[in-house]
Amino acid sequence: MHISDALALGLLRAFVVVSLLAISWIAFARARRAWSRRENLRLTWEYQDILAACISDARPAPPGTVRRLQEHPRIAREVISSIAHSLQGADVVTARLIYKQCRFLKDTVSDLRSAMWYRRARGCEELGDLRVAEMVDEIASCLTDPVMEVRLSAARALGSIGSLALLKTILGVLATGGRWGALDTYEILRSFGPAASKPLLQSMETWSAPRVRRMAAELLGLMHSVEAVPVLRASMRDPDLELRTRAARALGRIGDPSAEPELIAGMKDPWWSVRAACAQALGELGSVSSIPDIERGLTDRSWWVRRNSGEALGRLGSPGELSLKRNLGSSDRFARRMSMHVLRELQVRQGIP
Amino acid sequence: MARIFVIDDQPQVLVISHKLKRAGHDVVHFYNGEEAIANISSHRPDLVLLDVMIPGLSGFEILRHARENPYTTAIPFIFISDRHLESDITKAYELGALDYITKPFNLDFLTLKVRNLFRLLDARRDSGASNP
Repeated sequence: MHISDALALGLLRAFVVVSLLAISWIAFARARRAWSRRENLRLTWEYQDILAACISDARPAPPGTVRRLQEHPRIAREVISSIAHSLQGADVVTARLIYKQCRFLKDTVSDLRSAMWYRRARGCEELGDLRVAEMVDEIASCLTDPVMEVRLSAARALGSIGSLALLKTILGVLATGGRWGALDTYEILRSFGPAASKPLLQSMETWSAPRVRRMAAELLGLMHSVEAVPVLRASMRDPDLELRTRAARALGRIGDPSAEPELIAGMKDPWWSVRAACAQALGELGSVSSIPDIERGLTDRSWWVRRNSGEALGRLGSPGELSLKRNLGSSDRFARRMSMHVLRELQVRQGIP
Repeated sequence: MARIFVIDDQPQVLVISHKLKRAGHDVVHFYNGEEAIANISSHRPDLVLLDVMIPGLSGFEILRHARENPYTTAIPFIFISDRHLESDITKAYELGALDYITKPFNLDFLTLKVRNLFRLLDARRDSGASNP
């Protein structure tokens, strides 16, 4: 046998051995991962069962249970906070008590200072789920975190705890934060409940940042806050067109008839989105006296204004329906088309073939 | 003793089950929508508590399915959900849900609500029996 053949054979053998080792290592790692997943799931179910029994009986965890929970703190913390997340009242108090019994609070506070952003976010979320009011300052410090997810988790946690004093700070972060979605913001501020209405109103009156005022207008509408009507009516004369649009939408949602004059005036706004929002709001108000003004919207140059005006008339019952029928003979082809379209939709809704 | 089905895959559902069991009800727990549908028609529970988002099928699908079946159409359904959107709440009521509770909720209130519902149903049944 030549030396070169022996070398080739040796290399082949080494390759086979290395390949077999690699395959076995991958198989072992996969099996270990699957086992660990199964084990985590088993532990999660076990902990859920233990904690559900303690929380539903409103009793602290016995020492044996505390020791068991402390064996896997990551899973135990997650299970306690996810149970507390959906509950209110005495049940949250029991969950918080068990959390403290297991001495998890110390770990959570150190998580808030972790170098890893997801740990900081998780820490905020856990404190929020358990509504740990004494940790408000620590959570508030995360409102200025460089990572958006952490700021969001901190804001959500403060919302769950209901720290109204910090609502203005949260709004301030929103104004400078830039990228937070309106829905996220709504979800956060909604968790404050109707109590958020007053600070939101104050922020509309005192903040100059248009972004905050627009958001506050939208939120006040979604909260159906009747006390916001005067401020929202005044906002209909604001130079910011987006604020006018949102104020009109909010006034429609709140449904207070005193907003009718501003909404009628808004039908003549130079900006189409304001006119469209006003038409929709007048329909939501059920304002029959504003039918002539809504009718004018049927001839608007913007399709959205025509569409919302048609829908608004459709909402006003038989007087609105009469107006739509009258507009079938209008000299304006847009008004004729939209009236026909809405009347057809009404017939379908009423089950008329 | 009433038979209550709880359909949810979230951990807090165990707390609900425990509490309702303590109140003397027979509670059956399902993590999966399809399994729940099959059992609703075969076991006809007295009440169904469910979430909107369940693995397999949505809570709305389960309710629609139950309402289409004459055998299960009268079963009261109560939603317990994380979703706060008005459109979801409206949809639940349109489909015939008895109530829509948003999370976080007070478990004691839920237990009392369930108790009152069964009291009302029993009282109706009794008055129906005495006034044929």
